[in-house]
Amino acid sequence: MTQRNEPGEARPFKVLVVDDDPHLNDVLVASLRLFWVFEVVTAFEGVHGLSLGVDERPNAVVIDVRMPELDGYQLVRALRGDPETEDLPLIILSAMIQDRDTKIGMYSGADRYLRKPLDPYLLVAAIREVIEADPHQRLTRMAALAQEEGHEG
Amino acid sequence: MTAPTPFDHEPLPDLEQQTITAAERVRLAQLEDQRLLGVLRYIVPAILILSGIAFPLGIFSDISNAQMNGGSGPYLSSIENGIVFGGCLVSFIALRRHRIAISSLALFLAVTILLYFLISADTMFSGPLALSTMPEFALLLFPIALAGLIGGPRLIIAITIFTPIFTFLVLSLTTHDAALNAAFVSGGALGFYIDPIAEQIGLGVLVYVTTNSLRQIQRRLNTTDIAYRRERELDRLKTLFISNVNHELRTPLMSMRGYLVLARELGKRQDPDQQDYMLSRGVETVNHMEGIVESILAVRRIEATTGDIALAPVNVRAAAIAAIHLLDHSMAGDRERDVLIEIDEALWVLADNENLVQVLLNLLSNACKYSAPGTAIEVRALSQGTSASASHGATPAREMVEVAIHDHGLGIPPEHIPLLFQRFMRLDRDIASPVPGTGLGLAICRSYIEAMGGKIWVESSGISGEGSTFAFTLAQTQAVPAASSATVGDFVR
Repeated sequence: MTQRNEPGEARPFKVLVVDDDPHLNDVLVASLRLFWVFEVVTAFEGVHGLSLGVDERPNAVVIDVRMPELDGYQLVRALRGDPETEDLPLIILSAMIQDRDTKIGMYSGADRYLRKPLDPYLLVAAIREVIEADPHQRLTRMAALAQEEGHEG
Repeated sequence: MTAPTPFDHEPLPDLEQQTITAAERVRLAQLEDQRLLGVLRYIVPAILILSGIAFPLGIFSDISNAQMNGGSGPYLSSIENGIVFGGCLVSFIALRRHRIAISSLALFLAVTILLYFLISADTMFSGPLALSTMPEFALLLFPIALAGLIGGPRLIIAITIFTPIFTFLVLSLTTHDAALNAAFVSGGALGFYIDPIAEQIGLGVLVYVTTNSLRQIQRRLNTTDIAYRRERELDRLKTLFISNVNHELRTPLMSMRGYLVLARELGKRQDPDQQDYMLSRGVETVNHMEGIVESILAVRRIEATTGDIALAPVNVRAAAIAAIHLLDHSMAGDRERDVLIEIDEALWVLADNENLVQVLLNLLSNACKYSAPGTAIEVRALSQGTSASASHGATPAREMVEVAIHDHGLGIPPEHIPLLFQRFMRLDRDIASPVPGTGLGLAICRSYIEAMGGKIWVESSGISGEGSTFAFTLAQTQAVPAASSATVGDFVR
């Protein structure tokens, strides 16, 4: 389910942040709360992130890639694969900056692949964008990616 | 003091002295097997085919001989050909199954037993030794040549000693036929001994010398092969290091930007408490980043000459306390644990104070990183007694101090231990884990300790919970007067 809201209108959105770096987790929570009214839940590793993704019903998830146990790509795939969470807007925020990494992230089913370091404002803007986006856009994008992959493969 | 630096040795590592990993040992064995395989794959089938043809012919000739003699002959030819055919068959099958050692042993035994049997049969079992059989002794050269091809130096020496003795005994102990006796009497007796025995010893020496020099070349090649593989691995680790550093800098950089942006925003909103919190968290992130940048710079430092380190007496206990002090600082104090120091205050070593503290700090922070919060870490130092260090020829043997840091963590799998002190070395399990690291800490330790004339090593069973012990030695020395030891105290603060 995707919620929509008018720009500027404060709505109690809930965002899940999954990142193993405690400092960055701290920063993200503080920025999201400060710059737009988000309720933020955090996880420090993928498995916990997955269970919170299902239990907490967030409106968007921000996911790091390199994490112990379940990495970011796997978490994105797991959330996309679960009918309960398949429509969740997912943002990968990673220090892995090569095009190859971006590609893997997008193929996994993320809506955005953002590279660290990133200004908190831009992250907030990206979260708003993915929450407000039409879910059909994702379907067309995924279809295009699948076609592209088919051509390459 | 001009101690040799760890990196200015000959370009190739001396594998005899360096620790070789289990995988490298396997590789070296494979290279030796490949050489033998190259020899055996031509010899074994050739002899197998020849003896395969000769075997039925031998049986046929034995049977016809027996019929002509009107009784049952000794069937010597069948036995001889049977031995070599059977041995070669075993050797061939072993070769097909890549059992190189068995294959070469079977071939060697087949050929050697055949020839000795042949000569024994012709000289001892079939009447007196005939002049016409003398050329057969030349056949005994074959086992010597074969030992050179497929055996080691010991086999060559053994067969070179055994063959002349055998020849001498046969010539001395058998009865001789009339022609041979006549030849002996006419003054050629010495020649009959010298000719075959000199040939055998001469060939043996030649084979030994040639094989030895070939072996040296082979060993050199094998060393180059291993060195090349190590270099390639180092290159891979370097690339991995760069991507690790890249990753580890980007995340704190983003935190830092975040804290600054938040602090500015909170300033606008007149919230000084929260602003202060953000700024102090930002400073922590900067400290963390500093550590990472420091370790990148260490790559260069570790490569620079460490030969001109000025050694002075350093108090071991004071250095350990200084390191623990720095550790508390850098580990952000988020893990409470006991660090037990068992070091006699009277222990002094010849070292560079800053380098020693750095080594202790690296080892202690590793111990913290790779063991569960709350488990203890022990630091001990003991006077080890005299060590007769051969590498410092002129310097008299000195008392050494052994410093050991023991943790109760994950331990290190034994197969990783030999590579542990190499630059950029990180265990696979660490690369996948959130434990930060660049794979340089231990390489720095080794470089520093070796430059200070000591040795560093690790002992670990690889069993989780039993932990690991990192230990190093440094030369023991006399205490310095209290006035100059104050500098050490300053460092502790």
